[in-house]
Amino acid sequence: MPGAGVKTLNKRIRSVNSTKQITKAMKMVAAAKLNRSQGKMVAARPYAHTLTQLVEHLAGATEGEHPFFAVREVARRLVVVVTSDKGLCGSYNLNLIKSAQQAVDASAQAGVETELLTVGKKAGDYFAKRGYRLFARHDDFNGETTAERSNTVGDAIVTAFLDGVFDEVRVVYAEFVSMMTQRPQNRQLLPIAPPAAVHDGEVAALDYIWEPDQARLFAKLLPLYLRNRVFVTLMEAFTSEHAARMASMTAATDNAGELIDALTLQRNRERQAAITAELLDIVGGANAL
Amino acid sequence: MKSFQVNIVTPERVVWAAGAVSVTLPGSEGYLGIWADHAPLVTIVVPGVITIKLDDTGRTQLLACSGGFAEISRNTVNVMTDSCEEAGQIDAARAKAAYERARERLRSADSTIDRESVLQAKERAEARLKVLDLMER
Repeated sequence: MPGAGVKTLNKRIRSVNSTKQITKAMKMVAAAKLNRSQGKMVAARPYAHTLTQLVEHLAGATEGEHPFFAVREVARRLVVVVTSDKGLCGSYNLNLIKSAQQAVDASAQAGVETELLTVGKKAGDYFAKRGYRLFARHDDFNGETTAERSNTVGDAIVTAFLDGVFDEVRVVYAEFVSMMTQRPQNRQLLPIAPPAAVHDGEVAALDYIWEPDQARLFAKLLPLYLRNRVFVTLMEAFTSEHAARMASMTAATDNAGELIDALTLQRNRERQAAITAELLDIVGGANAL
Repeated sequence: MKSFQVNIVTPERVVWAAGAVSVTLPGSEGYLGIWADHAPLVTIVVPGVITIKLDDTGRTQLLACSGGFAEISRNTVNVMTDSCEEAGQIDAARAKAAYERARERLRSADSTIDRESVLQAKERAEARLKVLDLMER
């Protein structure tokens, strides 16, 4: 009987519609979080900028090696990977995990003992399940960070590096290119590549007074610089996460809308067919009389 | 009086960006007063009170800061610090509690305590309390 098709179609339309409402709500939440996260990222720039500038000034003025710059033969490597805690953000986590796994496997094949530090439940679960060695995992950032919380991660990395637990630290995270594009990046965190000394005449010409001496200033400045690098990296990764989630939820909402349109068309067609069939029956019956 | 630019930034935000006629900073070698046309200088900043004199009428702004750095060049003072608060943003009860806790821990003979970081916490709390105290007067 043709009426049954109409009924099941109605049911499906209702179900797709409620899914659409959920994805739309998630899209809106992600948009709000993205907005906040981006604002924080922008607010953090002046500090990072001034700090980097100061490190550059000092790098040119300081003699002697600092342990943070010491390039050692790599026997043990730490790979930091930043993913999200929750899914529903498209291929965001998959790309990052793939990229991190390649880095870790390549490193292990080269005979380097490699451990992972994961931020985000997705990476933590994935690598723990496959028997990778985890140095530490953080599952409680939930897509936002403060300087204080990221410092706990930064300090752990600094301590491990200075104690010689690791000879090199790399970080895999999603670079925030634009709202639509987030690209997995694999960057070296430690040892710090010595920043090029600034040679633009204006700055170099300034004859600074250093209090206390330059070496002690530098020793104090570098851990701060590294912490800030970790903080900025985490914030960028989390901003990327929200952007990825918003994009995928927008796509899901659009797809649900298209599906509803297609289903509605099909339902109307079937309903019309049923009416026509009934009319033909009646007309046929009347003619027979 | 000639004025110059003062910027105070923390990892999370810009706390202060305005002109001033003088600034007093808690440097590692003691408090330093800065006026316009100061010589270029970089110093470690320790927890303490930053006093900014806004204009010649004597309006001042007090801020409690924790450790960091300050760079002075070409009539611009850039202060980078982990945290920095105005009097209105300070939680008096919390600062008081932090101060007492730090003192308690410094007195105990427990060798597992990281004395350096406790000392820092005590200094931070002291700076906050001092700002509140100065504001009351």
